[in-house]
Amino acid sequence: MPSNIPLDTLQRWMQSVIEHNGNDAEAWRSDEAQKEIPYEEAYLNVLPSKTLSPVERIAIYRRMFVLRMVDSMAIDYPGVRHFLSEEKFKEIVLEYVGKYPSKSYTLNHLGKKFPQFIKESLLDQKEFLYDLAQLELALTENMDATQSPILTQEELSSVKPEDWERASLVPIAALTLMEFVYPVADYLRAVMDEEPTQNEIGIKKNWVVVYRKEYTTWFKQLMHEEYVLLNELCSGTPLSNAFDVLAQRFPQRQTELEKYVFEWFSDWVGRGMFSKILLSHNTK
Amino acid sequence: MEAMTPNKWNIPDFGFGVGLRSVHYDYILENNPKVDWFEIISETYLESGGHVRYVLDKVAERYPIVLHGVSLSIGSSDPVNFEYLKLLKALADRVKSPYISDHLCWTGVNAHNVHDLLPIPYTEQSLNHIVNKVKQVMDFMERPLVLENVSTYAQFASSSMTEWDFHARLMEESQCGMLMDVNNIYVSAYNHDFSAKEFIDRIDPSLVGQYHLAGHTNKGTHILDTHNDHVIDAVWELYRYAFQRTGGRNTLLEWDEDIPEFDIVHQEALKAKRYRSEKGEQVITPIDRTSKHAPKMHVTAVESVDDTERAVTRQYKSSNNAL
Ligand SMILES: [Fe+2]
Repeated sequence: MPSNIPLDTLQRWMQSVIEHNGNDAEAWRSDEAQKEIPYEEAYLNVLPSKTLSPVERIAIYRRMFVLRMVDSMAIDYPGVRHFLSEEKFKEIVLEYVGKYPSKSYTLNHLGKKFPQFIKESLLDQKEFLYDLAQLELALTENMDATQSPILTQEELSSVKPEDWERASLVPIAALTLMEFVYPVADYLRAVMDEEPTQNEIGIKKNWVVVYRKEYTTWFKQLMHEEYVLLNELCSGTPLSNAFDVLAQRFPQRQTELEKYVFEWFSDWVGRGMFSKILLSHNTK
Repeated sequence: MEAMTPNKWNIPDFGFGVGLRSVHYDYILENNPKVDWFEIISETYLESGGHVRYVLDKVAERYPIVLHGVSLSIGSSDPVNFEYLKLLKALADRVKSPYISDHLCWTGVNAHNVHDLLPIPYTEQSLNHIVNKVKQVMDFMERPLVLENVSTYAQFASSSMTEWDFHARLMEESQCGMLMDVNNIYVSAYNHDFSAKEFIDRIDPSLVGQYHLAGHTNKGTHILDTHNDHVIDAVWELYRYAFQRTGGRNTLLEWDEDIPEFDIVHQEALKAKRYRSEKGEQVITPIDRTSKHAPKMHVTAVESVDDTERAVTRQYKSSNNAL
């Protein structure tokens, strides 16, 4: 009988046993596995070695699968792992890959749906974990983003004063602005610095820019006003309009903000957050 | 000793190579070590526009590069994934890889990828299916494809031929070549109780395009292909045995876990020289001791300006545990 097992049947069987989130016996006897090859037949089709039974031999692949999935996700989500503890993280990752198995040629894409999975889960403090996972995913994705040319001080100085009204900025590809309900930037920084962290995280809005400079990925917290202005600029709003938006959003702080704006702007340029400057043709 | 049997595709013999791994990036860019060539895990570089791409372009300016993939999944009952091949071809063209390699295995079915090199049942049905897929891949890639024999931990009663007969027939019928991983032959011979030399003897030497060497972990009941240590003597002896049949072929040392500093990996690769000489006399190459860099691993805060910001570095994952 085993000699007639078609390739696709055997592979669907073996994959279901490897991916099964239970013990060896449960994996071999699961409905998914037995739908392909009944237990007795499958047991006869995997040959024992001198030292290992069929179940022990397939268990080698099952163990390596778990290690690979957990290690890969631990690289992408050190903050979530720290919060959940190692055991719980492993449990959640195995549930996650059961629901969203890798369909990519690379493990670098494995965690793409993890924030969404957390949102759909019943985890304690999942709102905080969702924010944290989103930040961590943004960091991972930033590392592979396309490298853009960087706007230089010289290019900036070459813009004539009368042209500033119609100038807009293009951010580099490796830049993401994020708004969070929970203080995830503080939390991740504390994890990286091996500082003590809390188990109960309260709401505290924070604004973060994730960007890459000279092939190093950074995350930086921004003041709310700074975030609003940078977000306007990155969305292509011309400089003058972006300043107007800022003034409208924070009317009571207008004088104070005027002082900051220049500082922020030169800081962003210095960090290489913009790729180029565009001058629109519809002059005033 | 010169090549006794030229390879079928006239693939140049670059010499003794090392796998390009992220922990060694800085060292390689700063020190230009005298390495004959580098092998890259293709999937790490297929779409990244970040640091890995920058490093690869710099390395490709200075060294020959050969693509070694882990997700072709040639043995899967799924059809050839041409989207993946498109990316692979673009990368091969960019770094001028004269040929490409992957593994004679499957990595998933129904579009899943379990990121492991899984064993194939050695049947006529598998053979016909894989011959067909190999032809499609070679047509598309427009360069030779060599498939590596993998370390396996299970065998199927449904197999109707040995692994070496399967590999030999696949090459005859599809015109692909073999990346002979001598360590994998040793590991599988131990796990399945066959003769490693019988395996090597069955392979047409002109169809061997490249060699792999690596360390492993002997668990007693079985050997795991862990790539985490020096190559053991018995594997070196198998390399000598295989080499005597083929002559000069690109030879590469793989070290993927507990990776030591670059010098140690490179020195291990250069040991192959002494097994390439017919009588086994030792050929010693001086160690390049220009710098000692501790490998960088995992997430670290590399720089901090104040409490509002952090720089993040991550270890790049190889796509499979056991390559
Ligand atoms: Fe290998």
